[in-house]
Amino acid sequence: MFETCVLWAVRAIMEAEAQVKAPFEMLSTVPAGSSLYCILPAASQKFYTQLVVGIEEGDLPLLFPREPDEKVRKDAIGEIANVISGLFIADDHFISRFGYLKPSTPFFSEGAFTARKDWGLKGRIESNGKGMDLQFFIRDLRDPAALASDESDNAAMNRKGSPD
Amino acid sequence: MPKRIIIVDDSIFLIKQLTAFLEVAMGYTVVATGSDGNQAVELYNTHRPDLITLDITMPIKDGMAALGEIMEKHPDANVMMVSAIRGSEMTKCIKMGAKAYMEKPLLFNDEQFVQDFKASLAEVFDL
Repeated sequence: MFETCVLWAVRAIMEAEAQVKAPFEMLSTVPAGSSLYCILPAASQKFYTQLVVGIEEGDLPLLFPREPDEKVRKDAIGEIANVISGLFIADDHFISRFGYLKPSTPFFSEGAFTARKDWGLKGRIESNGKGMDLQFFIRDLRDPAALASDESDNAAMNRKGSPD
Repeated sequence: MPKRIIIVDDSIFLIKQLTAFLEVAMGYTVVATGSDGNQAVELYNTHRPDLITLDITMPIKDGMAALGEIMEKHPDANVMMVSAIRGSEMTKCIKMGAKAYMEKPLLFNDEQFVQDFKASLAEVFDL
């Protein structure tokens, strides 16, 4: 289902063919190696989801060869994220399991992260000869163990990073 | 006189795509564009356009809040929602007074989509 949403959205917005390069599978880590991540969160009081689209920023002119404006090319990645997320979280099966999640606006970052108890899907597609990494993860906000483990991770990282 | 349109969306990609279609294919004039709900309300009050298109998910104030404010002050406003959000939000917007709801992505290279889009515009403008 997620793969279908991804391919449909990418083909529609880029007006180009797209193929799965690395099959979508259940994993909990963000795909590594991208220089730019477009992140689109959606949430309810019970669940938080995050769609991540990772690209090499230098590939943007090749991903959108007919678009001359650099800002528009980058923004189009946000639209891809917007449409994939919109399709996926409106799916009947998704809603019956997780309810309605309100999407936020996409933002760009040079990094993305997942926490230990997050779970989701990730894969890689290719269009116009260039790749895009995609990941969709879900966090159960009602799971105190997940939150506790994140807090302990953060505390450990803070201790590591402390100059003492 | 060409129809006067305002497009409000936080995506410059979408604004560019929709402007091209409305101006080139439909012969309308896009008189202003905005990127959040506050701008939508301000632009509507300033220009009183024949149609305003509103995205739902936008920063500062979302499209549904802007729709509510516009309809409260201008009950005859022609508002078309253009959003990637599907399902119940669509029904809510129509109940709030939006005259049409188009789902993203806008497939302007798909003949059926273009026909549907034009039919929605005709319905909005009662043509």
